[in-house]
Amino acid sequence: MEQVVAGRQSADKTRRRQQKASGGFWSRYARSKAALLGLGVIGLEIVVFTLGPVLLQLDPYTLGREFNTPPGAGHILGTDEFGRDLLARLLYGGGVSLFIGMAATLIGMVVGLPLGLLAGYYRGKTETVVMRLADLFLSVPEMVLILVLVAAFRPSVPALTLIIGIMSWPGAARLIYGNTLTVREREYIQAARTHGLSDLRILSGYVVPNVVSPLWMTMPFHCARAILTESALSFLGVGVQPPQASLGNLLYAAQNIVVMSSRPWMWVPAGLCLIATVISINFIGEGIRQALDIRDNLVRP
Amino acid sequence: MAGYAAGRLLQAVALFFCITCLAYVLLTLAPGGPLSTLRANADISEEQIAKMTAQLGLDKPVLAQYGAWIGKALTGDLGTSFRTSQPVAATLSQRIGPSLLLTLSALLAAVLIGIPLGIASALRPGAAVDKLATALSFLTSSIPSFLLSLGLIFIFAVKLKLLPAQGMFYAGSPPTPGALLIHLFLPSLIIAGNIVGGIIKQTKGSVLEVLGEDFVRAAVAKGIGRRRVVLEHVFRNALIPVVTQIGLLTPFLVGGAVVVEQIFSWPGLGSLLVQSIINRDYPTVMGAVTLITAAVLTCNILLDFIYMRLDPRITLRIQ
Repeated sequence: MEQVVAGRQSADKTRRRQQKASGGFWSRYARSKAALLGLGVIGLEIVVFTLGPVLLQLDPYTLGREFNTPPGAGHILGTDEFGRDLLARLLYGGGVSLFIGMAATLIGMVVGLPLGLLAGYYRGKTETVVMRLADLFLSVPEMVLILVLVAAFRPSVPALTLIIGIMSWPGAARLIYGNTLTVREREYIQAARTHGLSDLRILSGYVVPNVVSPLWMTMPFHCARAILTESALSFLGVGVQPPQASLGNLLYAAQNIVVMSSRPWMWVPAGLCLIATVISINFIGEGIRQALDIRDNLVRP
Repeated sequence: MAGYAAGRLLQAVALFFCITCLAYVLLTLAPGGPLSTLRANADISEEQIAKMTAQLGLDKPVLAQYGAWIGKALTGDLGTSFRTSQPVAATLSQRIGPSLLLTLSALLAAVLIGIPLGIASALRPGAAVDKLATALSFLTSSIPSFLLSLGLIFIFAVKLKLLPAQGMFYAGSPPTPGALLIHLFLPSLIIAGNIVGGIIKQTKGSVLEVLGEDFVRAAVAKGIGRRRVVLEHVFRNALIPVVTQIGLLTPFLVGGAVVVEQIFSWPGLGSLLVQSIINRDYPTVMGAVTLITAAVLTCNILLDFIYMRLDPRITLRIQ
């Protein structure tokens, strides 16, 4: 039993330590080494993925004469079964995956934020319609709905981004909705109303700034999830279509047992790159959470 | 109580129709329509396609088509596969057993790993077991299950030759329970990885919360042994939010199963769904989506009832 009590005391202690966090957002963020590392890796990836292919003059589509060559002097990461340079495909595919992740997160936020805001601020019918719709989206497997959408609209990078982005709106909407419910009852909102401000100005000037901060924290997690969804779809052959590359469809090659066991250069780099990207983004999210001092009580997978 | 149950049931039925209707409309309005694959085939003449269009009712408005389709679906007629010309319902009924087996073993594994780890890390914050639990939930949320599958297949099937990488049984030998268990091992653990982090986090959080309650302090003060306090007072109360959390995680469980089934060639609904999407076999896609949706909704309702049984306060509040 001492341990139970000791456990409680130490939990209290950590909570107090968290509350003592001081200084600006950045200095609190920088306190976590993992968060800094994550930011560094993603920053580096953005630079390398955008500038790399240009500076190194690599093209992901050029078919070469050397097929299935292991890493060596001519091709740093080797070539695939069509003789395409795998470094070029990794850099290019990494860029595609990162783009889909970030753009899809933005789309989910752009759709979810106003819907959650309106539902929480106006309540009534808007609330019922929006939140029941969110329930509908959350109660079916996201993967199954995405697969149906992919089957209906032929997958391309813009279509995938839109589909994955739109499917992530309920999370953002629920978060904003919950916060708006509390904020709308505050005195300063009533004061703004008494001053005769329009709903639009109240929402944009008073409500939004007070409800968005938890969303900053969830954005990296949504981004990581979007990248995982894209790569799973592409890996299954229903996402980004070859010859275009993405981290997921580079891994598609490993479904072949020969490639998997005897040509590891074809899939291991893409796999490591995918894991490093997702871990870094999760580190960033964890760093933001600690810096904003939000307790980890949000539902997320 | 009965009213509440009926309300939940009604809600689930409404959701079922919404989702199947949405899927039907999307697949019917798809660019090129459901018959686009047949049109691309030079052996099939325009007249045959026109005949099929009329036969399938594709010339009618889309909602009328859905009405006709769902009417038949409820009597067990889900149409014929474009690819195999077999009735979709027959294919689905072969696939549902393996899928249920895989998903339920994954759920069992996730619960058996997640709940003890969550409790242990709440009882000893900062200890090795807590760090292990944190690392496990972080890694499972960062490594995609298809990549984990590739890695584990590479290690255990290709290199060590310890575990099989495909199917439910060894090809060419009679199906035995032992072979089934060995084949279940990797895929069910990988699917469990999709939700184990969520279970650990929720268990830890709610155990920590219950430990702070007055009745726990009272039980300790009365001198009841540590085991009994944890098992009878803490665990029971902490379990309620965990059940809710499992309910919220079921979609991820099923979504994860879709991907993993395809990699391990598991003869379930998930791999059927992926293959029929690749083949543009729309009747099968529709059938698989319908069945998966129905299964998830049923599971949500069951969890709701378990939830009520665990916490009498909920039943009282409803009354």
